[in-house]
Amino acid sequence: MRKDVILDVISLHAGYGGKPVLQGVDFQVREGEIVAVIGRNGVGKSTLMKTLIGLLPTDRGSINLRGASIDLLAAHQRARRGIGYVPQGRDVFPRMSVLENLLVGESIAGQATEGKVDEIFHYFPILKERADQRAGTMSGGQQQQLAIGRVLMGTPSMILLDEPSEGIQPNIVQDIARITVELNRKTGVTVVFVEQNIDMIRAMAQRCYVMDKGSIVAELDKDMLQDRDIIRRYLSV
Amino acid sequence: MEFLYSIFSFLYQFGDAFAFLVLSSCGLAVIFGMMGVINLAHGEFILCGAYVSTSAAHMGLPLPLAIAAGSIAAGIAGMIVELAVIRPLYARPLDTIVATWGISMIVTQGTLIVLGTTMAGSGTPFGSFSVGAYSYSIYRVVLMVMAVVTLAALWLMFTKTRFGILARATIQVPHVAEALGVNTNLIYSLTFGLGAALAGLAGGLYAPTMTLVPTMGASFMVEAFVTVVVGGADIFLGTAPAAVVLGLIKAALTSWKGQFAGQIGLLVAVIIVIRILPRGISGKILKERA
Repeated sequence: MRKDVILDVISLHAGYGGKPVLQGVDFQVREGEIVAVIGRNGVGKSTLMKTLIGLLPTDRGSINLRGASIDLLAAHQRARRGIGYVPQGRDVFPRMSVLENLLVGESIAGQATEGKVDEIFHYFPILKERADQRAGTMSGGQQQQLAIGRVLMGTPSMILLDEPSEGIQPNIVQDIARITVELNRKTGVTVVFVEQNIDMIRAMAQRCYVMDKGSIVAELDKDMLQDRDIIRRYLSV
Repeated sequence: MEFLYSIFSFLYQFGDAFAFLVLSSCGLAVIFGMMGVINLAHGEFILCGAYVSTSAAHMGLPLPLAIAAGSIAAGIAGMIVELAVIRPLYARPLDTIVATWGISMIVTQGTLIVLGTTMAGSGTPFGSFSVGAYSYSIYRVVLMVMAVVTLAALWLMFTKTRFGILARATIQVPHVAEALGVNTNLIYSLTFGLGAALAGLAGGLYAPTMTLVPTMGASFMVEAFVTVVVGGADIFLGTAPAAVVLGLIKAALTSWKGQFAGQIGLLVAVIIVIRILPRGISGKILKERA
């Protein structure tokens, strides 16, 4: 195995209560890459993310993080190996303040990091303004920034983003894409994201896997991603 | 002057009722509010606290340390029960009711067989003071202070400590807390242990005031359940205000028509509240905020 592969997914099968959704997913992500997984609704993208972080068990196949299988680890143990999961629909803790939401993210690192909160506030100024506000009362875009800030609190080496553009105004989508790319450049954090929004895919992805019926059916490189029509065609496979 | 005496008498009655409602219910409220588990063995954790603290006092431990020992013993028992019985049943809330009821019966009957029908008490400390024609127990005033201290300590624990933040995150969106690196099983275990320790604290605090019998847990259960049902799932928005309201009702009816009327008043109050606010006081407040 190549040394710089951070995530290696081999013939992954998973689903809900015996109902198979993922039927042999194979892909690799290298350290420091931003990789998109695209596809229509219901092809298993969110299931893939939940299985990677461990909210759903691996039925068959394997997930390897830096060469070591993590299939048998509980979700919180996987998180502590440096995976930051941003769920679909954000799922902020609604009755806790913005600051408290951020503090939960420290659990990824297992300890508090000096100056981390200010660093997050630098990337997402709105969170600083709203630090004491209940997270459940914020708009979708603000919650998405909070959910990303929350995982950054634990300095993850890989971030999993599940449909970051869903239900968010276009200008905030652009902001989030820009900040994610900036973070990736500055810190080298690996990003794997699931998306259907063409603008977000083009703004962020360096490489792209296309999913259909529970498996990866195509891979698009940087050049192919320049062509909107190619992406559009694959999104409607 | 007479009038002031009767006001004092009413306030004392209210404080006494409030303290009993808060102390007997907060353990139940933590376990129900944070974990959604209806713990019918709550009374037996109180029993555990009362018996352990009284035994410790008989062995010569000072009362505060004896009460702490009772609380800790109940907390440890709670963590063992959570691990062995509750954890496999999280997805089946109705089954936890049956299971905890079973634990309750086993503990009550086991105590009866092993320790007999009664245990010698340690006696109520501190004596009494008089206001007007009546005398009042100083220890009951200590209990009132302890009720307020307990609420304050819980508030600090859940808002200002790392455990509190992680516990609230876990109760609000468990799978996300888990995915963010929080060991949610450990949080559940500690939370159940905390609830049991609070029950043990109530047992330890009230042990000097009552006869110790294996069924003593039951005498706390009505008040505890009434408070939690009226309050709803949130301990601060629910349990504390519910204890105030119910304390007033109980004190008013008790000073007017005696203990029995006070007890009936609580039950009537809970029926009315369930009819108007099915999710309790805190359910109403949280709904309006949302």
